Amino acid sequence: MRFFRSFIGSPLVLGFVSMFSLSVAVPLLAAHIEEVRTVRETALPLLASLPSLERRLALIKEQVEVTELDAALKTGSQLERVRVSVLPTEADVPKALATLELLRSTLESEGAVGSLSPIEVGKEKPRGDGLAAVPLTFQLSARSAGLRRVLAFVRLAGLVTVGDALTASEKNALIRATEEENPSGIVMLEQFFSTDLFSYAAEPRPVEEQLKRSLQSEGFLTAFQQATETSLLKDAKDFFQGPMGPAMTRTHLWPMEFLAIDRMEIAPGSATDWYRLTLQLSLMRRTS
Amino acid sequence: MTDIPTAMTGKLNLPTPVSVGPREVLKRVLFPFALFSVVLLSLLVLSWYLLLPRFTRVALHGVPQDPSHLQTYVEGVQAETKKMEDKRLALIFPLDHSSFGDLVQEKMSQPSLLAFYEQLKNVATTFLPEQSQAVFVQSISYENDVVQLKGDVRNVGLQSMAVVAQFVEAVRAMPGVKRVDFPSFTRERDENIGFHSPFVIQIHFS
Repeated sequence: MRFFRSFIGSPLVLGFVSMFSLSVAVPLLAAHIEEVRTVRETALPLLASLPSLERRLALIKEQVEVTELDAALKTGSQLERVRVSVLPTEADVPKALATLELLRSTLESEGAVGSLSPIEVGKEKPRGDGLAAVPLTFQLSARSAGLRRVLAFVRLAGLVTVGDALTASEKNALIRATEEENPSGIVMLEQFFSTDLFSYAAEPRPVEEQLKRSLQSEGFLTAFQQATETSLLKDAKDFFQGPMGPAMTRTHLWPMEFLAIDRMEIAPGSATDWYRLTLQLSLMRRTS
Repeated sequence: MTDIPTAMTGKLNLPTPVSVGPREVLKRVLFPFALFSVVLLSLLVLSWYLLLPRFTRVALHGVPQDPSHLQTYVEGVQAETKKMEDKRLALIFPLDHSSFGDLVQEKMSQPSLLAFYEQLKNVATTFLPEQSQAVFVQSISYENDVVQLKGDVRNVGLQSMAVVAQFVEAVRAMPGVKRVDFPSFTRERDENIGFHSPFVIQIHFS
């Protein structure tokens, strides 16, 4: 009792106790405020978004299971086509030149291109990733419409399936649209992506109708229309539904070998709406 | 009886006030202050261990969890979703990670030079409202992800170099453009076209 009395009677001890208690209490109070703020600003929004995140994960897992079934079979057939026709072990330069000549003659008959310079075939260069490239260089005079079609055709050269002709964002938009409507519709979409590009472009209606029967939501149809009407698929349809399609079938030019664009230059020509296009392409082949 | 006049005029017989020292004042103030601090600390400690967890815990699948655990769980769900998305893409596009897939991706990600050229022509005619014929484009080329624009500024007299700088700023503001390397600024005199500033601009995309 005496000790307690002397304890509470000592200003030094009381001051020390006060300062110590406050120095712990103030950070603890700040920690309380921070904890409440964290819960309000972070945890509650996270909790609100969690059901949709978990639902989406379950949907994607379901789609993966469905897709796994025929993936192995499809991979083998696509790989075989690429190895035989698109990236062969021997570059078929005459075939590539015949394809470019067919393009020029088709566009010339439409009045979209003028003269084509001789096509220079350079010395093959190894690329170091199991591929080698044969450089092809030429100049072409063309109207703006012809220029657009030539560049689109070069982009199409070497693509095999419908999926190849779509950008990553276009493909993702279509896949995401199936999640919202019918997760098992991914199988039909997968079949659409792996459809031969030439067959689809020559006669798109049956393929498109089949897909639209399986996936009918407004969101999917909008994404589908966007993908088929504004992408490289539209250029493919323009080419292969026209005179080039039958000509390529007749001369066995499909699938085309892979042409990569190394350099392109556009310069205005002397007449209005005429341009000079210089293209440096690489005709690709496998080295192993 | 009390003699009131005497009492009013006489000295009051009160005790002399005792002087209180600062030590005594301190002692009297410090005790309630210390008591308040100790009680406050005790309440906060109790709140931290007993009250706060009760109000800040969130129920995850019916089980109360710490907010930090919720954050970890959500990150786990997002990582798993990303992994499954990649797996789904790999199954739908099995050749994406082959050398063929890389070539296709490279080709499909190249910008449309023709569309960019049309945009550039539009910028060249509109960035200087009072002189739409100042920028002449000689050629535009694309190589190794860089667009090179060759041309010259004319019909603006001695202002040609300043107009080149303004044109570069206008190109830099175009959508999708990441960086534009400044050309070397020169002014030349030609008998036919007068003062003009040829330029070569390198444009990098984002």
